[in-house]
Amino acid sequence: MNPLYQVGSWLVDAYAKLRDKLSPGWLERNRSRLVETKLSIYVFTTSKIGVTGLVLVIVTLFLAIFGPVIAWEPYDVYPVLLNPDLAGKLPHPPCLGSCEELPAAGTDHYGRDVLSLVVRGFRISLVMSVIIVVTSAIIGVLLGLVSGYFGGVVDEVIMRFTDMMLAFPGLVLAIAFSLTLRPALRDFMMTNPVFTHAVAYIFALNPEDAPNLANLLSVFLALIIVWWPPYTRVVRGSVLTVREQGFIEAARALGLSVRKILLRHLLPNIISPLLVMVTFDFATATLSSAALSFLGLGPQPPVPDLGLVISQAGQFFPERSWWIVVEAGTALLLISLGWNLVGDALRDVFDPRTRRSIELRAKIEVRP
Amino acid sequence: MGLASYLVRRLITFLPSVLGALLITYLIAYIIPTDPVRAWVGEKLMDPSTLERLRRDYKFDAPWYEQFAFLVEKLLTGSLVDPVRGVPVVQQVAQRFPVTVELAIFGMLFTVLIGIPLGIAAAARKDSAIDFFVRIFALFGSSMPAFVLYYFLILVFYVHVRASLLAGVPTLSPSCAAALDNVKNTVPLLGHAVWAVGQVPILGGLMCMDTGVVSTTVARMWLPGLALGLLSGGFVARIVRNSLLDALSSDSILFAKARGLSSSRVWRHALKNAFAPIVTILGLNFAGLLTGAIIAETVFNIPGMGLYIYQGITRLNFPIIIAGTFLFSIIYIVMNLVVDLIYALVDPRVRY
Repeated sequence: MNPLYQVGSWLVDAYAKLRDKLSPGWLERNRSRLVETKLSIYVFTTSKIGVTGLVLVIVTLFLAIFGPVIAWEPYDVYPVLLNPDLAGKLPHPPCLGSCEELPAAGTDHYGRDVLSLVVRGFRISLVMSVIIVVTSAIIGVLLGLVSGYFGGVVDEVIMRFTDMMLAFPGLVLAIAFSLTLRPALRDFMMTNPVFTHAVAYIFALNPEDAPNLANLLSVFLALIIVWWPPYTRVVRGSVLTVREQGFIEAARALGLSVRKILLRHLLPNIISPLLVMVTFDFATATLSSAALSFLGLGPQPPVPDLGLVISQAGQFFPERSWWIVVEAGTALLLISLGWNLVGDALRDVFDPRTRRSIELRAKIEVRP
Repeated sequence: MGLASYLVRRLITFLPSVLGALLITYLIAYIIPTDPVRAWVGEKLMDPSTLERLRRDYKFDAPWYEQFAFLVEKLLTGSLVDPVRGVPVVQQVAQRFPVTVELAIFGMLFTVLIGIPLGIAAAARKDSAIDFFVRIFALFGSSMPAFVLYYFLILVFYVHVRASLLAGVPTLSPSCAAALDNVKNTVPLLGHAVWAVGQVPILGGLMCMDTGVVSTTVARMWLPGLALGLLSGGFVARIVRNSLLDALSSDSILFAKARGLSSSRVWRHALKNAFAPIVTILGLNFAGLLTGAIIAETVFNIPGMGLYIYQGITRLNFPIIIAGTFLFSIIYIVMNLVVDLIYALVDPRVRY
């Protein structure tokens, strides 16, 4: 047995026990679902791609949570101002063991340690992608459920609007929105110090950077606005087929409320393709928000955003800044590669076409 | 009959879609609470009379719908003037769009060269080492931050191996341009088409057999093209592989095998059936390259449409924003139409 599967199975068991304590009998009613979940976990852990991705994702999560604590340098202090001797040497290339006062991984043109910046960058990058994708998935799924379940005029209005949003080139639309939203957000943050502090805490930035926080939020909202339509499309399509099946009719005949039918009976039946889509989108959103920062639409210096760090290095490229591009670029690559690998493995686990053979293989191997 | 009425239906929905796209973009730009005229002129040249004149010229004192109608009317008559550069937008677009088309052609060329052979190889040897390689390659392609790959390629092929140019965009030689104008003026309808295609320097150069233009263009564009191909080639390869495998496991192929057709004939049938999804992906990819290669144009310093509309948006340059959106929405709609028509050509099961 592989240890990863044991961890997963232990987690599922613990969750099941908790639920059973809260509402006795839960374990018995959901036994088949638990077996199914464990089987999926087992299949996932046998995939090399999936396990590699999971390791990368765990590393990303770890750095995103603890990175700002680990980082050994403040991001908003410029060594070049404190130490005039540095002025002619910056940005400074990596020097392994040969220089005492300069960091081994190289500096940017302000004299800050690049590696320390990159470690901080994980937090911003992950928070951006997760909130963008989760929020737009929730919006898209709700609209899709309503649109597919009710049909008629509601469906027509929602879908025409969705199509219109889909027809635009996403990046161009996001650029326009982020510029539109920025001034209003800046005013809002100036008048709401509590909100500003909360946002600053989430990004592990200094609350005095309010204009930069407003820029980050405007990129957020801009990407959410262009991100939800595909979800609505996919969910509506699946709802249309599931809606006609017997158990939904039965639920309706029993007089269940619409909310219960949608969330308890329809949603669980269409969740697996959504899960795959969300995982892939974490990667795409990471890259898209980095791309907007790269174009200069996101936060401004000194914020340690990975896209911004690379864009700043671009003006000295290549002789005087290749290490900055390499370090920040590798970080971005690893974050999105992790999500993409996990998504690819999940797709195999959930795909009905490969499902049967995988189940068979797993059952033969799993049997004690 | 079926095709004709289908085309008419598509044409009827064409105009409202384009106008809708224009209206939305305009409204987004309109609600930005800064003064566009100030953004155009810049702080240095701030002169009250200039501001006043610009405001009157672009109808900023009129309500928004009059402003919008004014912009659309000017756009359609080709007399919209870019207030920052003081030249007609049409002229700028005529200079920049061919460059973007060139970039898209090179990007597409590499995408196809990388994607299709790899996809076929992966489908032919399913679950082998090459199949696994294609899977990993595709995952890397979609995980790579585009600008990092561009910088890396510049480092290798420009800084270390001097195999590429990074500045300027070659244009047609005067004699070639004159020859194209001549064709346009003498041959009625076809001549215009030839002239339009010839405006893209690489295509015009090929038509005139102008080796100088062709070789400089290749030296300038192959690197960005390769970069775009590396990013999307793996994804295309996966689509080719999956749709080929679907086609190979269909009943018609089983029947072809049962009839004892040679394996090359069987593959030819499967390839034809697998074509539809591949064409869709390639078509959308091409439309994406024509409209959204902003980052490639920034890093490789290519003066195309992407940079133009990006600058337009950041400086609230309404004429550029409207003209760019107009062009982009037409590209998307036409590309979708072309994809649908190619479907019907390659797949006899498609009816309208």
